[in-house]
Amino acid sequence: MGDTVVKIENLVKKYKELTAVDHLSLEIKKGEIFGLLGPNGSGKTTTISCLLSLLAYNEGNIELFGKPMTPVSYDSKAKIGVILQNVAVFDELNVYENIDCFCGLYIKDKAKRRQYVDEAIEFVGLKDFTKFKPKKLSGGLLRRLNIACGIAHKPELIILDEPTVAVDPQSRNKILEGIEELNRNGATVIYTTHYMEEVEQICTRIAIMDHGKKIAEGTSGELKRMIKNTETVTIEMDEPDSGLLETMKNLENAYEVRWEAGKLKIFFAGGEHNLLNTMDTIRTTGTHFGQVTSELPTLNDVFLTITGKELRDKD
Amino acid sequence: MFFHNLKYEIILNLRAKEVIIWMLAFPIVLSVLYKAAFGNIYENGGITTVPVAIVENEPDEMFRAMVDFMGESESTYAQDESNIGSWLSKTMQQKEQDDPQQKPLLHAIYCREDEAYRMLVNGDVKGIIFVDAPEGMAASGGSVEAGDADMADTDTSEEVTAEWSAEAIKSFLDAFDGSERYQNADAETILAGEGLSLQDAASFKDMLDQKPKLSLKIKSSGMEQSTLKRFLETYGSLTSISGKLADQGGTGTSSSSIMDSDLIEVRKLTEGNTDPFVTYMYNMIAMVALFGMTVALHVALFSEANLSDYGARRSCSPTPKLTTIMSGLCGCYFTQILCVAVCITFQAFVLKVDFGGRLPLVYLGGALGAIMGVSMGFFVGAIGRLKYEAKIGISMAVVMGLSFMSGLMFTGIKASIEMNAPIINDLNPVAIIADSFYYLSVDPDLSRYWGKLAVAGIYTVIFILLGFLMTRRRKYESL
Ligand SMILES: Nc1ncnc2c1ncn2[C@@H]1O[C@H](COP(=O)(O)OP(=O)(O)O)[C@@H](O)[C@H]1O
Ligand SMILES: [Mg+2]
Repeated sequence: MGDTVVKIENLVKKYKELTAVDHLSLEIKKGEIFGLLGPNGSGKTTTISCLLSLLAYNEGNIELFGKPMTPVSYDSKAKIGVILQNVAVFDELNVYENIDCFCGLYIKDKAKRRQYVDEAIEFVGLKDFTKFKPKKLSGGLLRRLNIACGIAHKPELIILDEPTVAVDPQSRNKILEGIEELNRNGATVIYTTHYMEEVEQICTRIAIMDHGKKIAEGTSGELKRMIKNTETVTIEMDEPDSGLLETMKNLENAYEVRWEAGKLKIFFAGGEHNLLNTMDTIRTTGTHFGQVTSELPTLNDVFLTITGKELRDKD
Repeated sequence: MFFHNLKYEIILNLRAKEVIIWMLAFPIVLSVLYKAAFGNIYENGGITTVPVAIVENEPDEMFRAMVDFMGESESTYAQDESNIGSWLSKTMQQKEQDDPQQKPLLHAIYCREDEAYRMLVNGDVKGIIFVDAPEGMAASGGSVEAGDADMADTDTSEEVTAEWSAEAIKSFLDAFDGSERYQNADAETILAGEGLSLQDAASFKDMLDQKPKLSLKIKSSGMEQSTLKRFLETYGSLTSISGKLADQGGTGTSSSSIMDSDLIEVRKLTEGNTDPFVTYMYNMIAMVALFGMTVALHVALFSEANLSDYGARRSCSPTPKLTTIMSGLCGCYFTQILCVAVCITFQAFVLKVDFGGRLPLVYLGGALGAIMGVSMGFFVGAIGRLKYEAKIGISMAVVMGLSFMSGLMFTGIKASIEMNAPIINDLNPVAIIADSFYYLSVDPDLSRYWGKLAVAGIYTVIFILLGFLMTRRRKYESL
């Protein structure tokens, strides 16, 4: 830790009128899995494209590996592995050839490249498919091939832009585990997604973006501590009378009680044994109830609290 | 990096279904079909006697003799013949008898203009050759009078003329039948040997001096029409050769040297390149070469971050864009040249299309055509943010359109363009390549062939430069 791999200062990128990235600053250290979380259209891909010097930007500074990043920073580029949002593999080439084709842009030595390509195939679990053309691969396997093409050259910095969109849960887990393994092997990772579960699962640090702005940054725990809520208990029941509502509101650490759609929700801020206290209290009132659940806050709650809207799009 | 890219570029190209279909299968199937439809005519193409009408607005005995030599003639009016005329006819006929195997090339009908047109329209003749007074001669009688006046001028000039004419006759005979009959003979011996008077010799000089203006009118294109055209061209070169020889051997008083093109003006009613089968094959090779456009469209696409995800991925790599583009271009050149070579080889060795015995130069022309096509495609591919599919469509349409104008579908199109706006044919890349093959098959020297190739080269350079200009950006405003 300690070495700064990526430094973005005050990045502004405008598409004509639209400001896609708005004074964004990020610093990513060596060894991190840095999550860039934000809903669709929040400017994640634009940020990545500026970072890679594909896009011209209006303001700001970008440094990679301690050097300003330009389109001709070939030293830096050699150390980066990029997996962009859209799958970019050649239909005419089989799995092995695709990986070799892209790996060859980085690795000149043939023997070394052969070894790297084999390792990449092994890594993403496509060993049984080396001779397959992309058209014959399922969506998940195709994504894995796409990833293999980006990491075969063993980059120090791996940038993945929404690598799990439209991927079955099994492949998704495989991909996430793979990213963690790459990180354990020494790679710094930048991971963008609009799925909060994923960043929570693997990211060591997270920046939440909305409308091109960074609205929060920190570890998952730090982010959640930014909001008041620490636990939400939900109880299935008929509409409670005002007496019961009052009782629940007086529970220790409870700061809000709401009944909607056949469920009573009690929001707690801090404290321990909130679920237990709730259950004890409700039993003493003799109320009939159904299912009871306790939820810890999610990044969605963080997002909701800060922006007033849901992070997850209803897909 | 370059060779790694090149390798994959070629693999990608050769595995692309479109390439296989359009560059290899399509032309081969088409040429086989065409062979089946027109090959017969072509096969029997050796020599057929071509009926032709000759309208003599200005009788030219030299030309008449040549027609006699090349075939048989009839006349709808009485032709008057001078001594030198009958001498020429005799010489020619003798030569013809030396070679009895030969079928007559022409069946010439001397007639008036209106009759000639009627026969042309009815299809009784395949063309009309007009024999007119040479450029600059006012009326038909004028030239003879002028000539007479000249000769009557002084004794010395008459002597020079006689001397020169005898030399010209000797040169003509040498050039014509290769026998060096009058090696060291003086003028009188030659004239006596051929039974000619001094007067005859003088009119021979006139004959050479005053090349008639020959023009050809045809109704449609075809092998027979092209035979006529070649006949006129051969005639032109033969007479000018004998003229030049006479110049060298004589006293130097002859008229200025004569260029073929001054001599013959082929006026095309429609078209008369060469026989349609061969024209078609030339056009097809040119078309295949230009299809290189579609092959090369992806070069910019695959290396520009704003045009494709492949481009973005490559732009993120430490391989410079110039390397990516160069390897892409070279890969396309290679693939396309290969396809054109296959096409030419198939036509030359399987369909036995006649390329005038200059096959290596045909390959060269085809290769340059391929390079031009690929370069054009590189340029189109680099244009702004047009969709790839749109670019494919545009390129296909362009190549088809250019091929159409070059006469791939109807040979007549090219002719009417040649008549109305020849510049279009000179600029049409498909026509440029097709014409280079044509010149290869008809021209003894290669100057016109190289001329066409030079134009193709200029196109190539322009499109490559434009392409590089457009792909020079490194960062994009928008992806
Ligand atoms: N090429 C473009 N031209 C104009 N607007 C764009 C372009 N690309 C993206 N945008 C806009 O910029 C904003 C950020 O887009 P993007 O970076 O793709 O978001 P994300 O990757 O987070 O989904 C969006 O509002 C999007 O509509
Ligand atoms: Mg995106």
